[in-house]
Amino acid sequence: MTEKHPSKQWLTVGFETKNQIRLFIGERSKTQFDSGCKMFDLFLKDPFRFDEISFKNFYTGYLTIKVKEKYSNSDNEWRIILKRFKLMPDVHGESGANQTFHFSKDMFLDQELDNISQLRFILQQPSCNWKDFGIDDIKLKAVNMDQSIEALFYEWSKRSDKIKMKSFEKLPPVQMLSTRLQSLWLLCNEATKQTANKTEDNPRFDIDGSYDVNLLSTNQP
Amino acid sequence: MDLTNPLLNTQSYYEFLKNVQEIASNSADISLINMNDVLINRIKNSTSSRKITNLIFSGLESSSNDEKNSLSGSYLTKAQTQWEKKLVKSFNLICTELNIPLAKKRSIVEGQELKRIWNELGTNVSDMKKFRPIFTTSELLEHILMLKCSNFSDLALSSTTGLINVPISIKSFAELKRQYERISLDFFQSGLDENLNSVIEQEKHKNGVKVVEINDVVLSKEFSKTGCTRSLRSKLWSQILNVDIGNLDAVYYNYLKQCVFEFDFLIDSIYYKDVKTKAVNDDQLFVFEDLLYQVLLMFARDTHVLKCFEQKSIQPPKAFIKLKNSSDLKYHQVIYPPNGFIPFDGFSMLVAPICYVYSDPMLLYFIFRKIFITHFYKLSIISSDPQSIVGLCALFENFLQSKDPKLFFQLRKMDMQPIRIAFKWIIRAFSGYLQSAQLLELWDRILAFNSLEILPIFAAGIFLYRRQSLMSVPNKLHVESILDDLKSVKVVTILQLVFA
Repeated sequence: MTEKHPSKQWLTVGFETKNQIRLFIGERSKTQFDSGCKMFDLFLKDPFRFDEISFKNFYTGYLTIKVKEKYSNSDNEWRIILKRFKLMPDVHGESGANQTFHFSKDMFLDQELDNISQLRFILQQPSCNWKDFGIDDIKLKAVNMDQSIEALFYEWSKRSDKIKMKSFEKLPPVQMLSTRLQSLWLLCNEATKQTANKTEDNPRFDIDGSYDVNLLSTNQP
Repeated sequence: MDLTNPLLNTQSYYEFLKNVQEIASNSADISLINMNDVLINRIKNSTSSRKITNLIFSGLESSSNDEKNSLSGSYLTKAQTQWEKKLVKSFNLICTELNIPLAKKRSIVEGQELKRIWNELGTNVSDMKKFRPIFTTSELLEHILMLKCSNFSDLALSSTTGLINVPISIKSFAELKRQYERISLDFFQSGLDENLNSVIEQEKHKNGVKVVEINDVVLSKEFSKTGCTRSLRSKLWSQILNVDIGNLDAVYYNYLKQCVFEFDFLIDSIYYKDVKTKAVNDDQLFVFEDLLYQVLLMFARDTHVLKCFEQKSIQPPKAFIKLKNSSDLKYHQVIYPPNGFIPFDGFSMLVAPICYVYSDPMLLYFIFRKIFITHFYKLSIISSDPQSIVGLCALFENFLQSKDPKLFFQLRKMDMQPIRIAFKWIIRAFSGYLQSAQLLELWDRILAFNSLEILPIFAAGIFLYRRQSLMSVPNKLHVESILDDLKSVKVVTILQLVFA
């Protein structure tokens, strides 16, 4: 579920949130029935975009997320970006109940996420096994679009007259090129295979022949 | 879930690649465009490609099991950590009481002596009285019964009548019936007495010979679901587990043997005691005493076993040592025992029945190791995996209650919790309680269906089978004596009874 962007930088997006409230059917004081439904809103200070949401689940079964844009007219609507997403494969059981989830932009139904001012999380837990449910530790992340130093330098060097890129005038015949490249490719392949297998399959249990163990412990002396 | 990368470094892949290269260089009708299709067609049914498909299938199975249950609930991980700390304490206590180091290097003379008596290790055992097991199965049961989920609602808690009140998602009866469909009366099961020497049994044997020749994991599994015929059992088990001994494995086996000669562990004595008190006293398993010592001593030194723990985020017990012959004053961390596994009393009984199937010590060792890292390690860990011992206990109680609530209620009236009897059966996978031939039938099904769930189902089946006697009994001592002797029990008939 996580997309790795080694070359991009992440910004965390700040927000305010109100308490998670349970939803009821009918008059609040009269009903005893637990609808198993909770809702809360996130308010972004400045309207911003985001590319990733992560949170830690606490026994929530299904999650729905809606977003609202800032520059709203009077007929502004909530758009659904995640509809009843199953967080726990079996709502009566333990799996997925305490798991950390990451949602990236391409998992959402509606991927236009610029100028968002408000998010609404709707949590559902249909099972009667649990006392309480919710989600904790919500984080919003956005990719940093500012240009890095390398990109700026490249742009500048393209336009500058002092730095010239070398161009090949005469190429050697294709056959020769391909044989050279093939042996190079084989070498690179072998090299990556060697480095990929960094951890030993069956490591030795002793250290340089010493293995005098006197006590088991959990902390370093 | 990356299946291809680990494959690239194996011997099977190297042979497969050589095969493909041979075909490519010998075929005249290959061009750049159709190379992929032509090569795939030609290599499809060869042995080398079969080995690759077997590896991928086994990798797929083990990784799908891991993914589903990779993150257990926080109270379960806490319980597992608590249990691990308890084991470490108990082990340290034994060590300080007896004043024997946990591990030390053997003298050269001692190592040579051990090498000499390697095939009769039973004679090496001296005074075993002072050793005691690090933990007993009843201690583990008590720890499991204390598990409590703080978020579990009171309503749900009060509706459980069994002892396990942990909400692990277990399969329903309908799901299990579907999963174990091949055990039903509709299919011919080999190994029942009345079937021996019958025409159908012989035909099944002929089919079995063909299945063994093809050497495909999936096919061997499907065939074994209705039981392995006795003569084919060893080949079928090694195909199902995808264990193939190569030169590298033989070298590793000898390395482990050398480790036994070089280092002396306290845990060796614990294993010795376990074999002497449990396996040797069993009239069906005492013959394998020497083999058991060999397997268990090498098993304790095998770091390959650590792999099954790291995927489950279980911490093996650690120790800190100073290097002997160097000026390095730092403390280095090592894992003790090297395989990271602390055995319970009766653990040697999980090895003994396999000796009936394999006589070659090397093949026996690798088969046992594979069965351990695929199935048996789950029998002593606490996690949300429905096949861990907690899940198996929950399945047993749920199954018995839903199948026969009257019987369950009757037992509860006598202040008897069925799980207390069934626990010792399940944790030893019924080894030592059943006739060996019947036990192997049960273990065929564990391997073929790739799940330990058959153990609690069979345990519930025994209760159902002895229902009449259990219902008419006045108190719980009689219950225990009725369920004490399982030597006359036939596995397949009881399983068919349960799923009928």
